[in-house]
Amino acid sequence: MWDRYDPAMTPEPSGGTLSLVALRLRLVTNLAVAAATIVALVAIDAALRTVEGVDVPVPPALVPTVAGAVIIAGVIDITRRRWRAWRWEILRRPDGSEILVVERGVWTRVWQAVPVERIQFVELTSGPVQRLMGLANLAVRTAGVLTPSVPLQDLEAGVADALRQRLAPHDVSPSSP
Amino acid sequence: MTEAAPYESAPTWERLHPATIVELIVRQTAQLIVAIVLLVGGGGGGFDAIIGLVVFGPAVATYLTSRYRVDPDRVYYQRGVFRRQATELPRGQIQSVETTINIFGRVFGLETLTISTAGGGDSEIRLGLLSTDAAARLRHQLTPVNSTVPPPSAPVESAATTPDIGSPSAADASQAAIAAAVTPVPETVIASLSSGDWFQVLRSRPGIGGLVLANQSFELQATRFGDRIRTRRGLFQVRTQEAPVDRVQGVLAHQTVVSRSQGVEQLVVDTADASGAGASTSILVHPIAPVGRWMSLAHELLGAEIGDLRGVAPAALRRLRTRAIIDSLPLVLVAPIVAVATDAPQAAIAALATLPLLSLAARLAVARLRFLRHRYGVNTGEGAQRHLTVQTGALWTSSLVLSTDTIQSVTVSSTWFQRRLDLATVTADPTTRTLSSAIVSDITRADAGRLAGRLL
Repeated sequence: MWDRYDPAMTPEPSGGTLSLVALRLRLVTNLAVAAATIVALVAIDAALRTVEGVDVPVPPALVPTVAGAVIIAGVIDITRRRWRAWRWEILRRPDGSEILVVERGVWTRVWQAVPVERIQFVELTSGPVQRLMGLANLAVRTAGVLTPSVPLQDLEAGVADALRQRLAPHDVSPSSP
Repeated sequence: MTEAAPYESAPTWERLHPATIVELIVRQTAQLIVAIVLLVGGGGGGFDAIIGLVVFGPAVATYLTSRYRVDPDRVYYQRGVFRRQATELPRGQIQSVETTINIFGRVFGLETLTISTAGGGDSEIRLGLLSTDAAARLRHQLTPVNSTVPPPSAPVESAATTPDIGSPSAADASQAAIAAAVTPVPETVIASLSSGDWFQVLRSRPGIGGLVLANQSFELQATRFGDRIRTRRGLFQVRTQEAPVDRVQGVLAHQTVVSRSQGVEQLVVDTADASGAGASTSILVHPIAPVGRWMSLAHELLGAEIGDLRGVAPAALRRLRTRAIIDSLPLVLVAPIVAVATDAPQAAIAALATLPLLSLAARLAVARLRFLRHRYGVNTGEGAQRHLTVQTGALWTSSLVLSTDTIQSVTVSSTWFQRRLDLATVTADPTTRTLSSAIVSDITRADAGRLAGRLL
């Protein structure tokens, strides 16, 4: 969105979006939460009908069906949009220095740029489900106080590891020979 | 090199001032009281001697075992009788040197010196009490000088293997310190407040904040000499802060409605290690500087040439107004309902009906002020250094200047509503908390892209 502000800054071949596996993982987790919500709705609907004196004006099963359909459709839509909006890229400046750019967000679009030389620490994590699906999270930290960590979630494990090696701070201490 | 300089003698172990014993004894008040009670209560002969030993023994022993030494590359501090404690700090990593004069210091005319490094926490040495001469000498010797210092993560071993301070720049630093001590350095007074100014400080910021500020700025004197900045202030506890100018990350000015009416502003500078170690200190430089002084201070300390500042996009006013309307909507809707529902007299209903309108008008006025006062600019200063200047606020305003070298990342964000107006917000992420308000909101998306490019 904003990465074309400086024509001198050229995108490197490295860069990418999230894989289909990541979408699948997110759909599964988000739909599980949605299912739990629908079950709760059904339970509330059933409980209300057993209470004497309360007259629910709609036929049974209508509320769970309609609400369930809306929730599921909404969750799928949002998950897909978010998945599609997310991308990362490494830009190179004329002087050879690089900038990591992460773009994300549906309602609020966010474009975050971190000069690679500012990166202090890189962390790679992978949960059990992520490992099964071959995914990993990468967190890139700077010394900033507002957004000390830039998360890159559900990257393919190979990509995440390559990125970790590329972004990890190298020793530039002036006292080293 | 060591013989030539009065401040750099051959490293020897030195003791603290003997008055330290008195301070240590008084600090152990509980023990003292017990001892006095026992002494008064009777006993005699050998018993008194035991009491004396209990009271004065530890303090004397602590004093006798406390020693410090300043080597060309390190500072050592040892203390303790049974549990020996030894602290050493590589001089290249010293972040700041601060002297304080506490109540004992006042009595004996002595000072306490705190040497801290970027590591924070345990990585500091407190030397006290010291004679004023010794404290001044150490402060001169140890205050980091303008130069690129090795990052705090620099391994200690590397410093030990090299003959000097661990990096060539640090060697230059000590030479510069010697030079600074020998040749007179140009000194400029930034602020000099007498105790009579206490009331004016309080007047510029009424309330608790004013009291705190006035207390902090009692007899304040801020000077720049050569490449260092030093402030000295305080009523009971006299505090001297000294930092090299190249560690100054940014300059901030705060104005309130009252202070602006008096034509004054509060000036603060933020210092931190240039490598971004997170250890930072805000130094109050002037509580009642003339309005606009921040620009020249930013020039003096950061080399920033602050030119024309730009206003934000005209559409920003629309967004701020919409926001003001949405914020006062509940009051506008609820007030008439309350007025009608309750059996209130006519006058009360009229008042209740005008209240939300007044609130809306005030919010709109503030929104307009906020729009007019929000200005920003990136200016090229001396060399190729760039500086970001941001002014924000409506009634309470702040102006800040920071070097783009200290910006760790840049975020451009745009909400759905902002996108409809082609607006975006640019947030620069600095290394110190006080400078984190470097946010430029509601500029056009094209401008946001350009600004982000200049900040990176």
